[in-house]
Amino acid sequence: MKQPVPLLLAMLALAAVSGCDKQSTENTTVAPAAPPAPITPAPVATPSGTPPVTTGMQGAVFTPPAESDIPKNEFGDMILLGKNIFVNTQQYAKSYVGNGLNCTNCHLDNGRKADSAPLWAAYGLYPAYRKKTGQVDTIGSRIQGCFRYSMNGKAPALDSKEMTALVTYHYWLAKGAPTGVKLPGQGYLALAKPAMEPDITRGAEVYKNNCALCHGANGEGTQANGAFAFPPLWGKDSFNWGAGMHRVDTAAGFIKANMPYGRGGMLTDQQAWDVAVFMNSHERPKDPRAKGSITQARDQFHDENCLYGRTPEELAALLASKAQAGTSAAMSSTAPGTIDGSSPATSH
Amino acid sequence: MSFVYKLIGVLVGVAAVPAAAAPPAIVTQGKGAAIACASCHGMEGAGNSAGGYPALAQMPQAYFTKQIADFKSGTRSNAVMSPIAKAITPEDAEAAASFYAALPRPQSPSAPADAGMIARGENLALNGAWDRGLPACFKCHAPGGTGVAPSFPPIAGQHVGYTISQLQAWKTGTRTNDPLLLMKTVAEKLSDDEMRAVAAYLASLGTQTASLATPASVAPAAALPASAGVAPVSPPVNTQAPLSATPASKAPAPTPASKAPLTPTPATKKPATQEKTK
Repeated sequence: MKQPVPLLLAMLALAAVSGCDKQSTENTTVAPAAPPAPITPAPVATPSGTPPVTTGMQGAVFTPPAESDIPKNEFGDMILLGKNIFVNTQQYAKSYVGNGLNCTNCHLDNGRKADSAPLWAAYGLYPAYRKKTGQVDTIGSRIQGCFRYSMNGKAPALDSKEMTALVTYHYWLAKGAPTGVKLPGQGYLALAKPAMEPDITRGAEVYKNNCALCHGANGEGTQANGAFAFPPLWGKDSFNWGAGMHRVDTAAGFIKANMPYGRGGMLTDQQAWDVAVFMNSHERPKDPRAKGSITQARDQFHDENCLYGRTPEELAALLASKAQAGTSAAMSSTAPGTIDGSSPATSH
Repeated sequence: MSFVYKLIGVLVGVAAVPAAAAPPAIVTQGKGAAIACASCHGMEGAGNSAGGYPALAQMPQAYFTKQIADFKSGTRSNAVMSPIAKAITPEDAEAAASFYAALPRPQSPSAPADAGMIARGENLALNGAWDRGLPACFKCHAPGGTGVAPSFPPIAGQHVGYTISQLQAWKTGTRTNDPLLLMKTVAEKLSDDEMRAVAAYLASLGTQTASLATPASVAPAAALPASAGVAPVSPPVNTQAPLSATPASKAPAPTPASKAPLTPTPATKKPATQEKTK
């Protein structure tokens, strides 16, 4: 490990919740002001809002092993299979995928990139209790959630070859990383609420000027050679309503730090929020948890960071109240529990 | 605008012609100062390594015509090509673009390069160097570097010298026609040695057919499993609107959600005016 790394407690990340499950409540309850563990609770260097641009992570960021270090043996073969599944999920885990996405669409640099839910930071945070599942999830059952929601498919069994390979790839990338510690760059960037309430119309303009080039005028993605070269952002081929990326706050953080490729930090915070709310105001595959009515599912699984199941009037009211709440939240952003990044990374 | 419509008209007209159609006159004979495309780029669109003329085969039509337009406007500049481009009519540009887009990517004679250099280039093309903000070439140019129409040209099988010259042009600012400064951002982070390495690797990739063998370029969306775990689509709101009603796009970009129940209304009054003053 490198330099004195600003470390956040794993505890915070355990709140690392998911989907839309009343996340803020959970975080504030789980993130204790007094950490029990003797780990240096260095204050987070980046109050939410300061935009650590792509490469702008303050302090030392964990460095996973180089791909050339994959051993040439049976273990290495399994790592490679895991990497292949991760990079080309469409082909290598075909029967478990129900949309046009690959793991690397949200976990950039093959799961290595900080602020893009890197695997080396996720691995050591499990097992953890997650409200989304109501149980202690292992890294395996956590990955199952990715398939169910982000990949809109069905989960590989815990003892399947695909799961073994994926877990092996996670494990290998986390070589030397501490267990139970939230590392800098874990999850997605926690972006402070913007000055103005996120707005769909402004977001549409941001989208047209900065995103449509790759993702298509209608969020449909762009294909080459019969496969998606750029991922679909909404519609039938995209992630479903249970995926973490459908949360506006999560999407805003991802977009701000990572989009477009190579130009993280290009959009202002306001633009990132606006385009996130625009993206996530569109239709997408249903939340597989929904059993009854949409309203029921909304109240059970979704909070004000989701546009799931809301009429335009309800949405407008929510956005307005959110903007007010955002102002006060920004002012008190140094309070513990509000700046932990809330790791939507681990939340799909 | 009418200019654009003319282009579209020509494009549609040309597209209706079978791919094997006879090459257009602009390619074979040229017109006045617009000398025949083939005299430098070849009838097969292979270009010419020694002359620094790029391969054009498989280049997306829209990308091709944009380059001609950019040579005219000056956001791209080249002592040989700029005056030629200025003499090419939009119609002829479309005709040439259509012709070359339909040709198979030819094998490029790769310059001698040692295996280590090729490997370094391959690593950059496949993995990039994200720790310094450098995305992999193939993230935008498709696995295998075969390009993603309409905006990302094929880079596999391009001549070494040409690739290097363009990377340098972006880096030094003599070429500025990349959308969102994407190529400038990349080129600025590449050392001269890295440019040579990545250019050597791309040139070594050979024909498009060969590069299609890359694993990542398989599995089309059409092959998606209809497995039990695949949930059907549902609308975000309490409406019965089917998914297909939404993004279906008659209108251009900003309106994709115009039929979506959520989009039009919420909180847009104030922002709409702010947007205009912006």
